[in-house]
Amino acid sequence: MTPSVSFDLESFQSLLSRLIFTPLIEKNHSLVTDVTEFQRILKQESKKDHYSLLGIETYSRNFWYKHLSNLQSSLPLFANFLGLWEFNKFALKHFSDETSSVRDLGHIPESFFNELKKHIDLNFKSERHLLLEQSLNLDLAWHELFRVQSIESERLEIVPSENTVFKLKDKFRILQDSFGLWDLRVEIKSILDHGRSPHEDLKISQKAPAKRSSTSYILMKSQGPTVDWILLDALRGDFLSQLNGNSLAQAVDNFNAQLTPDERILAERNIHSWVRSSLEQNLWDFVV
Amino acid sequence: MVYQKTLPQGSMGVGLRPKFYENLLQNHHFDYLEIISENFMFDQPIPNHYLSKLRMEYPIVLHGVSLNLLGSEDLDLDYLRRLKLLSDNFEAPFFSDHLCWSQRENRFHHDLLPTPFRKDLVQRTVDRAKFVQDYVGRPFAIENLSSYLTFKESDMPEWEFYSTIVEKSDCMYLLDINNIYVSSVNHKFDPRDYIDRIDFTRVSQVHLAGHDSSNPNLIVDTHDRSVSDSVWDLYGYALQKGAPFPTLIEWDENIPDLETVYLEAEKAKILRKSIEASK
Repeated sequence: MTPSVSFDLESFQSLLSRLIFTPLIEKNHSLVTDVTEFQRILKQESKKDHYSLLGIETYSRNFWYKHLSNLQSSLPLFANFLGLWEFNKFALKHFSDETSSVRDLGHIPESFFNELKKHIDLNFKSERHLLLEQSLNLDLAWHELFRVQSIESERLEIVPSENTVFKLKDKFRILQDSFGLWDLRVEIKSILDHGRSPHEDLKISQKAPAKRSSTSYILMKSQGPTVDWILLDALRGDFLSQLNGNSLAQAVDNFNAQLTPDERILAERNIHSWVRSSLEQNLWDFVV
Repeated sequence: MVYQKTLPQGSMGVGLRPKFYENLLQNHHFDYLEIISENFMFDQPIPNHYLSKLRMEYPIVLHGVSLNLLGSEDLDLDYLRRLKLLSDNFEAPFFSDHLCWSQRENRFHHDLLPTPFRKDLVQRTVDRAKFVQDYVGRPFAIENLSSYLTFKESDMPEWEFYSTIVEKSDCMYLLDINNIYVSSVNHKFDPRDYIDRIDFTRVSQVHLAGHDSSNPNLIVDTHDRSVSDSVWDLYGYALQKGAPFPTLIEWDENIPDLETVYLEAEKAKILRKSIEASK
């Protein structure tokens, strides 16, 4: 598949990679490409006059700016807390040795996250500590929430609406503002994994609706298109009653076991939003 | 393989971006959509949900950015497996990627990087392109690159390198007019010479996009603004040479609302009609 060629493609690409990944440097309070380092590398490789520095600068700047801008948008609270300048310098230092090795620019390596937390702990104590905790927890919470959402969505083949996600984000922000040091991440994970919170006041609890019978489902289904809403509401009630005291996975299994294939299709399209709205309502009730 | 232009001739497409999801479901301004393959091949639930709905309304073609056709390492078979699955699932008329390299030793540049244009790289690239096309089982369109480096190691012009690879591998062209223009300024050649070398019976589609020319010594392919007048002129030249062909507007940064992108598509339609009328 890969016959040898006389031009040494591997050496060429290795050199160009090295040039592009050369970290930006600080100059006049800006982060700029390190032209001196480009020249040094090219001289060392006997390619001093081979490539235009302007071209190498463009590729290198493109890589680093894209990378930093992505980190900022993925970790907005960290970036705001440190300030963009400090955040960029920190990220640059970290990734100088560990350039992104993933296809998805949205991926934040765990090592970066941990180092960032250590850096903040070491350098920003005292009066900014509370703010730091809030920022850390909210960013962590978001990572956890999206990770769990993604796994659940895939498993259940359902998709949360983007509007709901945005609304939820606002509520989390308010919640976080109210609780400061509280580790929201642990809370979310616990709720989604076990259907209840380790915090006594924050457990999933719903008023269990009256049980429906298979006959009532069939009757409802036979009454035309508008009845789907009633069926849906009944399904929702049943699901939430299963969720009461069970893990999410157990609730889904118990619930599915009672349904006909058609009902299951309808329910599966909605389970995720039921879980989310239930979680959201409980968290919200807890705050207010 | 018998070459057929698999999208309607003269059709207008848009690069699918999350901002456009809802609008595209409600309003049918465009004839087809092009997706960035990598955004949909790794089990992302929200994008895939929309894509399934959009597929009911539009033909969808795949456009990749990390095939690494000119890479020094072996092709990534897991990537190709996912690409094939995606193109089968969405019945893509064809798929495309760039004549470039983008990674080595598991480090991704998140950019489309050039190599020197050399005769001794042609056969290797042809073999890889053929392998990719056979593996995926659909027509493979190769896109020309915009670049910022001129290499002393090159021993043939870019258009000769590009066209030889496309034709010898029995693949198709994805001709990016903006890329031709950007490279022609940066490397000082006549962009019409480039277009003259293209066999338009093999053109799967044409891309149009904006660039940043604030530094006249080196213009950058940014996809963050409207198509420039110079690129419209060159598009007109391509239409004279090979119209009709499907045309797609790409916009990746500072993405405006869909109506603004549609105005660009309308401009392309008007230009095509005026050139067809004058023929």
